[in-house]
Amino acid sequence: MSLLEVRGVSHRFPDGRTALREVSLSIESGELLLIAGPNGSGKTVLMKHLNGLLAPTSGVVLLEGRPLADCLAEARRRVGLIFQDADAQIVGQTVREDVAFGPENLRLSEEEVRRRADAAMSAVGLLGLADQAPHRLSGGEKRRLAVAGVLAMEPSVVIFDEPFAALDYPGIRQVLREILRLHGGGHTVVVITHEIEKVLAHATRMAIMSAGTIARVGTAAELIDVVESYGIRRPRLDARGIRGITWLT
Amino acid sequence: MADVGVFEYRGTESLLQRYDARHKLPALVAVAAGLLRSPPLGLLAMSGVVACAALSSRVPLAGILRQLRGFSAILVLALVAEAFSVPGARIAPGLPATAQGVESGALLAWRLGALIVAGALFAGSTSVSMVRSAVAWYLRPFPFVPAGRIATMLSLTVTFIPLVFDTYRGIHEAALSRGMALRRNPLRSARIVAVPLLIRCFSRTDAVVSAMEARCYVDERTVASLRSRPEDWAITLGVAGVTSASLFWLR
Ligand SMILES: Nc1ncnc2c1ncn2[C@@H]1O[C@H](COP(=O)(O)OP(=O)(O)O)[C@@H](O)[C@H]1O
Ligand SMILES: [Mg+2]
Repeated sequence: MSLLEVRGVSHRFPDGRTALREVSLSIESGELLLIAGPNGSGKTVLMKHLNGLLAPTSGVVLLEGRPLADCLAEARRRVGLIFQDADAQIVGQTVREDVAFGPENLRLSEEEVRRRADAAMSAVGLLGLADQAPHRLSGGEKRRLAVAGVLAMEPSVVIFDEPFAALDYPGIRQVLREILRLHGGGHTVVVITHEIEKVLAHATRMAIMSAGTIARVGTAAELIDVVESYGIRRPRLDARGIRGITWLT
Repeated sequence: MADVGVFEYRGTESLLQRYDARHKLPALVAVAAGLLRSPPLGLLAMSGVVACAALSSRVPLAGILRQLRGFSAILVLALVAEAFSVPGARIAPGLPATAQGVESGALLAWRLGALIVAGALFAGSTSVSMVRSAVAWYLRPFPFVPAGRIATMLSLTVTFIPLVFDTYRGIHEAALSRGMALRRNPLRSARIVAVPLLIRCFSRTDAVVSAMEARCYVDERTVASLRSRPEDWAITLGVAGVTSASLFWLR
């Protein structure tokens, strides 16, 4: 059984715009899935379906075989979303308070909230900044803060929406390292981006979205030669092939 | 625009920071009343209370004063307005300011300045989650009042003030760099900044709501437990004593 399965999902907004058409995709436990696609292809809307922030107009999303509508609270906890706008997901006045927000919503005891916040902050290397004001952090640190906020809920899958947007080179490397560490630690990770050269070498599988549909699914090697026809820049390969295009050297 | 950094919470350990928020909140109200309503001698005593709070906060005083510079315009305005509007003997022929006006203006500026310092000390030493716990605690006895939701709204509002200011600054600078300063009509200039500011705030609100929902938001969350110790009672009684003395006896 897949961890998450999207089955024939369409989504139409009240203004009549159709953002998803008959999308089907499964996310397997332990994989690092890359979802690529140009702006407006429906990537963010799809992500919001994966933990029930948006409900499909038709079709169904399953978490371990159960429809999300039947286990919404569990889905919100187990499917962690890291949004593109890092500032908008900060709800705490200090780093520690922000990380504690999720566990507080789960109504865990005060000691458990504290334990989880500490564990999550140290996992992303922010323990030393626990009392800092979040909006003073650098771009890469803010992204790591968002990761800590999600980790504190102890999710099964972590989904990143455009994690490299508006980051400088060190910021991109920080976030990329975080993504690989999560995946290496046994988490299922989904990375949504049009900057595929940043994660392609590390992804176990790749899906291409185009105009509200999943156009292709396959390995990086299978799809690298077609990405340009879907409006995604094809990374230049050197002698090492796809393995060689990592940003971490 | 005044620097809001002065009202930002700092997690430094200090007596003022440990002071139970359920006590600190009414103490701030008492200090504010004392500063605004006491006769001059009482004002002196209340300023002493604020000075003690400043000392026990371990926030460097020079830092507080430097950040308060942004508010000096308000204080000068208060002084000038009083000087020219209070009736009395003119300080110089031809100058419509009066001696009584200058005196009452100086007093008003002092009151406001001390109040701003008190507010900054409170904000700098009290995390929103402590305020949230205190507010929830005060509201809990009232049935039908959604204490948890009110407390969260309060903490979100405080959390987002610095962001709104940052956004304002960005929009203002962008408008300036496109020649807004050349405009004569200040109302139009204000609108040029206000409209995008509102749009940005609303769209950010949408994003924040999504992000909160994604993190399982519920009204009744775990709240930090508050502990009040004997010292807290001692401080509160002390503040209450000095405030009532200032308001009613120190004439
Ligand atoms: N709240 C909304 N109301 C109407 N249309 C929307 C809304 N959110 C997104 N859309 C539309 O859905 C489409 C897909 O958007 P999105 O998933 O954000 O694209 P991207 O792949 O860049 O993340 C776009 O055409 C967008 O205009
Ligand atoms: Mg998007």
